[in-house]
Amino acid sequence: MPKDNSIKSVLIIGSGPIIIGQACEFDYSGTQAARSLREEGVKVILINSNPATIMTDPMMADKVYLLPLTVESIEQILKENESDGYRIDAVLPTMGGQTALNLAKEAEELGIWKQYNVRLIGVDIKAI
Amino acid sequence: MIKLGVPVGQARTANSFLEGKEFAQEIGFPLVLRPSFTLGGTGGGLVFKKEELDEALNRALTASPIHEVLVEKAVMGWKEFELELLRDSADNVCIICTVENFDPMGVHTGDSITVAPAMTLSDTALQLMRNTAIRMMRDLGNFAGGCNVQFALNPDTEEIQVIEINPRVSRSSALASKATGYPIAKVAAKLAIGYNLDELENQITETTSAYFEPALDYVIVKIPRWNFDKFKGANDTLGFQMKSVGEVMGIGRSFNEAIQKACQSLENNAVGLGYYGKSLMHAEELLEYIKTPKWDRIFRIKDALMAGISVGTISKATNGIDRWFLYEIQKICTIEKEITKYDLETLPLELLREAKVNGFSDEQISRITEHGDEDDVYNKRKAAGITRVYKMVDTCSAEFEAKTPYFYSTFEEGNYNESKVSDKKKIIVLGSGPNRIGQGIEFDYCCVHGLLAIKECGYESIMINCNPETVSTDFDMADKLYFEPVYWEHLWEIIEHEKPDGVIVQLGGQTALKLAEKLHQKGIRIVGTSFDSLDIAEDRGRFSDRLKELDIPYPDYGTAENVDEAVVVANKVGYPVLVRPSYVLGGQGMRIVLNDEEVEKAVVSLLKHLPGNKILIDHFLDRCQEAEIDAIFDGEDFHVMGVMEHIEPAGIHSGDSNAVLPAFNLTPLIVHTMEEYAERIARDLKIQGLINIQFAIKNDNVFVIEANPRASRTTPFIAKAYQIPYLNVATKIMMGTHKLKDFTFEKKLNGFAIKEPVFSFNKFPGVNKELGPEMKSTGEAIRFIKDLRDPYFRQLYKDRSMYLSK
Repeated sequence: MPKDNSIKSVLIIGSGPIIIGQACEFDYSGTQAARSLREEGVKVILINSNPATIMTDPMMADKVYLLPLTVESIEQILKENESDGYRIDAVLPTMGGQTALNLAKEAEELGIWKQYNVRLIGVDIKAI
Repeated sequence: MIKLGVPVGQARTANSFLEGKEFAQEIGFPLVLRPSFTLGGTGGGLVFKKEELDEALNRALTASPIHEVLVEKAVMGWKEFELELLRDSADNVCIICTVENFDPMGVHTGDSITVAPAMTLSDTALQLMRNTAIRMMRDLGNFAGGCNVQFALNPDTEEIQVIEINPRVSRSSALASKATGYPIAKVAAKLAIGYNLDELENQITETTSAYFEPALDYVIVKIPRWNFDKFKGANDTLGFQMKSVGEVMGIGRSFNEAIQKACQSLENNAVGLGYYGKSLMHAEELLEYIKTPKWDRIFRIKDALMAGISVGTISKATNGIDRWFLYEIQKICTIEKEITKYDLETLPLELLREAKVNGFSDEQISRITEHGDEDDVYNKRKAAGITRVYKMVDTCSAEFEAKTPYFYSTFEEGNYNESKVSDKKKIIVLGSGPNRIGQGIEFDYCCVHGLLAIKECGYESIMINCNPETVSTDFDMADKLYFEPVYWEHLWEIIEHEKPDGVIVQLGGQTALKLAEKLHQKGIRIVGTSFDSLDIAEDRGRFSDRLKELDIPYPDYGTAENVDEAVVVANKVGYPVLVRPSYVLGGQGMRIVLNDEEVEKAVVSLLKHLPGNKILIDHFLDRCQEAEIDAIFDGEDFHVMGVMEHIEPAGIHSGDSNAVLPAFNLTPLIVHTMEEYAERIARDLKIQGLINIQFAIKNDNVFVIEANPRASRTTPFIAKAYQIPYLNVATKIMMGTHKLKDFTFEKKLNGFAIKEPVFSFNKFPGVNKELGPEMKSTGEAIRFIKDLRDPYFRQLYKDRSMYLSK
């Protein structure tokens, strides 16, 4: 199956500050993912609260949000981008370690993805 | 899992304390507690006895956000393996890498020494793991992306058990990407938007498909890096909860070469597998010591082998480290014992070559022979033609032609080099080695920007680093990547091979800066600020003399080499004083003391850990305010990137303070004075590139505490907060291709940005969160606030003295 053209912009969730057990390997994976998606012409919107990361650099994504990794921030981003051409079609939560997965799961439970019509990609929420 | 017929350990999921106790009774000891939805095994642990259960179970339940713990039978003495897989939506699965843990079950994989490819696995066991993993992947809902499966294997029966499955990219997949050259996250992202594996190309060969399993014609060894010295009283036994703060990877043609290179990468004074000249334990003590997994067990195992303890005994004492690994390490011991019979002149070339092939560093050989220094060994082997060659990490064992410039060094007959030197002008960027407290991811950010700026200026960019977690070691960031220890011998051989125009030391933290002296001695151009200026800023004595000449106030200070001197100096500068060793990172070993007795204690303890160190004693400006400036100087113009004011009072390390950008409470006059001092220092030191200066402000007087002539922890933070690519600018200024005049800076920040430190104290139960002059935080976050009425800021401000230890 070739590329799914209905996905025009993707939100990547980062892993937040470096703590023991979750370090800069997720900056590496997030950066790779962002570059990989942009290569395919997909717009990348990124959220991470860690300013020391390369993934949060303006050159790595189309839009970067340096915000706390909370459901409120996610909702704010989805709302902000609803009308301005960056409408987020999908979210990729597998690049930001356990933090990103937990956040995606919480948002799923609150029905946020459904509300904004955002698809979860790269993961099956049941698998988490 | 059970439905699939996949063998799993006997386990039950408990949601309450009572359930947990009940299951524990059912399953029996020893058992493992694994809290759900935590990372790095937080709150998990091994329980051997009934008495330990209550406390451990409570901790595990609290750690899990959903109050759920898996109670599992512990399979002690089994070997541990990890498989990294990719799966697409058409159910194609490929196994990218098989990683073997050197440490048997019982140590978190993040804290284990790991090896790829798997070394001691039989083909039948490997196929069984493969098939099991693939079957599990296919059953695990409908997802496309990366996945990681961990297995335990009974070495006697080859029975396997699934320990864990993570449907996401992980620490291990970053390692596997660097180990194989296969960009797992990149491909996983493409799979997530609908592609199938067979539709993507292998970016290394550019001619083959991504639907393939990499083959390795080399070995990688990963060794974690710990920071127990920062957590006094922490339990340093390794277990199910991860405790390391970073890692290094060594690549070689053999396990021995790779593990010795990894040791050289660690930057903890190891020159290979072995410390030399330090007192050794007796054989019985060693044997007792290695029974418990600790950070230095690998070194003690080598000591035990040197002491003549048999491989079988060690394997048993360590609860099952595979004999193959131990036999390999024994080869290192045999070579070492052979070398001791000679001095450098009489050392036979064949033995020297064998030592090099087995990863011995020049310095290691000179220490074993107790003769000459690393340069002498180097000259001897160079004269004999024993030279490193560079081989490519190409994912396919040279089966296809590869395009990726990703290299490691090794020794071989015939000296065939796969790294072809171009005729372009080149600049080398030195990375910062393993992450640790005080030197982390921020330098990876700096290096990546450095590389890109070098390319923009038309030069070839060459990266040297040994940290597999970083973006700077991604194979397509630099024009050429050497995955090698940031260690003089390795650097020097790369320089001889590549003949670069210069080396950048300002972007890789203290690790890179430390190598400036050697570069200077060899006449290699240091891009940006000269070695002499770097040295003035780094050498406390020279720096203070300079400040005096420049008429800039600084806290009174002195140096001492023993306790008596220290007491005299402390009285001269006046209590309270700050006692610290010279040339260390993140305020390691730094203490604030109030009287003679405490000085004595502090100095004795420092000299015990760092014999021969010159100890610095500063008058401590009690209850003063701290602030810092990051700036760029090009020889003519001076530009202040940012002025940050710390919320916490002096006495807490700058890396552990909440820093506010721009200053929020200092008067314009003070800020102006700071800027003016900073410029005076930059001009005087003829800085070309970056400088970070730290200030203390007391009673409206500004004192300079220290200067770092390099990218600092805060440079990326400022670049993000103001949205200015400062590292790009700074690199171009270091190279001399641009002047500050060529850029316009528009600082886009409404309100303030706060850099908040983030700690990992919860990994060390029993260690209090106490902050002082020694840095403890592992990471940071940024928070933007509109104004100072922000409730978050007000809380921080109110709590500013809360964790002050003294």
